Amino acid sequence: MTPRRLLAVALIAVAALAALVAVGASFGDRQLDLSAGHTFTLSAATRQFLATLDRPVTVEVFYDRAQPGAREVTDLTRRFARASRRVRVRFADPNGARAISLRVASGAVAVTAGSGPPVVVRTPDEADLTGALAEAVGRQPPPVRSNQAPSQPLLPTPLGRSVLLWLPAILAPLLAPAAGALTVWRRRRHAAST
Amino acid sequence: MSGKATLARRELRALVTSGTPWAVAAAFLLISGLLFWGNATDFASYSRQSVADPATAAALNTTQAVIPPTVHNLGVVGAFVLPFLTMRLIAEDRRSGTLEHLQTLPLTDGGIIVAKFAAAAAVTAGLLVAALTQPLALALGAPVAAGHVLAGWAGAFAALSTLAAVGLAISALAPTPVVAASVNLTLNLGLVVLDQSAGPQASGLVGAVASGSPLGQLNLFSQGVVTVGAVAALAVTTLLALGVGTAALTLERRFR
Repeated sequence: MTPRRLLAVALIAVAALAALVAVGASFGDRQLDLSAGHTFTLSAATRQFLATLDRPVTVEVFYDRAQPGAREVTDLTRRFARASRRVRVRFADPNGARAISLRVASGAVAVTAGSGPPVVVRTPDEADLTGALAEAVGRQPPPVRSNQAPSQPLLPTPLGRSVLLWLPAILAPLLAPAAGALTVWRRRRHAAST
Repeated sequence: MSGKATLARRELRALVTSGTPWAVAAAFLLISGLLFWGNATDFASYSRQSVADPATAAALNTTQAVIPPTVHNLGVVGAFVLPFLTMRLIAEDRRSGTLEHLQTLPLTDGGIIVAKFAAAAAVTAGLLVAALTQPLALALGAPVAAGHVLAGWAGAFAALSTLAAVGLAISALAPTPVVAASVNLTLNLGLVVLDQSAGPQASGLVGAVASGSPLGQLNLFSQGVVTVGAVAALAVTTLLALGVGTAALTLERRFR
């Protein structure tokens, strides 16, 4: 490979990497929720409520990153922002001037519509946050029930219980070396015959 | 393109006709299968105890309880067995002196790396297909959400392919397969320890490495969620690793 071609390939590779990083940074939180019960998706009632918002709402998240539950609340507020253009999420310093003026500590979320008073909720779930948004815009909170996976306990029969062990943990690992031995033997026989 | 495909087929044939991938497959399936069995029987016992309490039983879901740790375990066990698969890919050619012959083929260094990566990724896919016996066995005892399993297994394939690309890059830099395996195992052990100890709330450099590593990215897939960010992060790491491997071959050719 000539140095010129090498440089061209390197430039293309860097451009492809930069494009991938840009895609990751811009659309990084776009997701496909294939979980049982779609528990990472907002419920239909919340989405319907967000679709009817008629004015901008600011959701301020006062969370220390090290605090338990910070990731869940951060993800939740981002889901709200993705579902409605009118919801703007701002991550604020839990020890900053705004937190002091609102008299909130780490773990609180403040929802403000326009110049109205902020509605503060602590460690909110989907229903709490929807309720806070409704209160901030002066509406009745909708009845929200978060998406939940259906009740499906694991109650295997005695045969099913033994299959849990035998199929993945004994049969499959035994078949692997058997198939390997067969492949190597066939290869050697083929090599000997030719 | 056909040169790369030919070399990939040849590499794959060489891999499957040696004993290494079969031993790797047996170890991978045995350890991940036993861990799966432990998780599944624990949850089955808990389910049986909870039948008397309808409120608790209503909150139990087999897919949500068993599939995430199963997918996570596939990543962790894969991190320990993959170095034995990738260690020989380039370092063995270098040790035996066949690397120079390989570089006389009508293929670029990038083509050689891509072909070897394709062979390793194909073996990785085979391992994960065999590991599908785990959700299959689970489905005999309770309904299992196929989409959740699909997301988890796709994530496991993406994360293990990324680890294979990193292993290939290390193999391209190492003088012998043993050195490649040692370095790769140490790196993967570090990633596993970081993943287990850092936790989701870790911040700073530790948090960034833990959440950005292939095992950190796998956590979201294991929950049944596929995000653009996770896919892009794995793709970037894979491309970077393949780039490092290509650069190592090119530099070696120039300074030989």
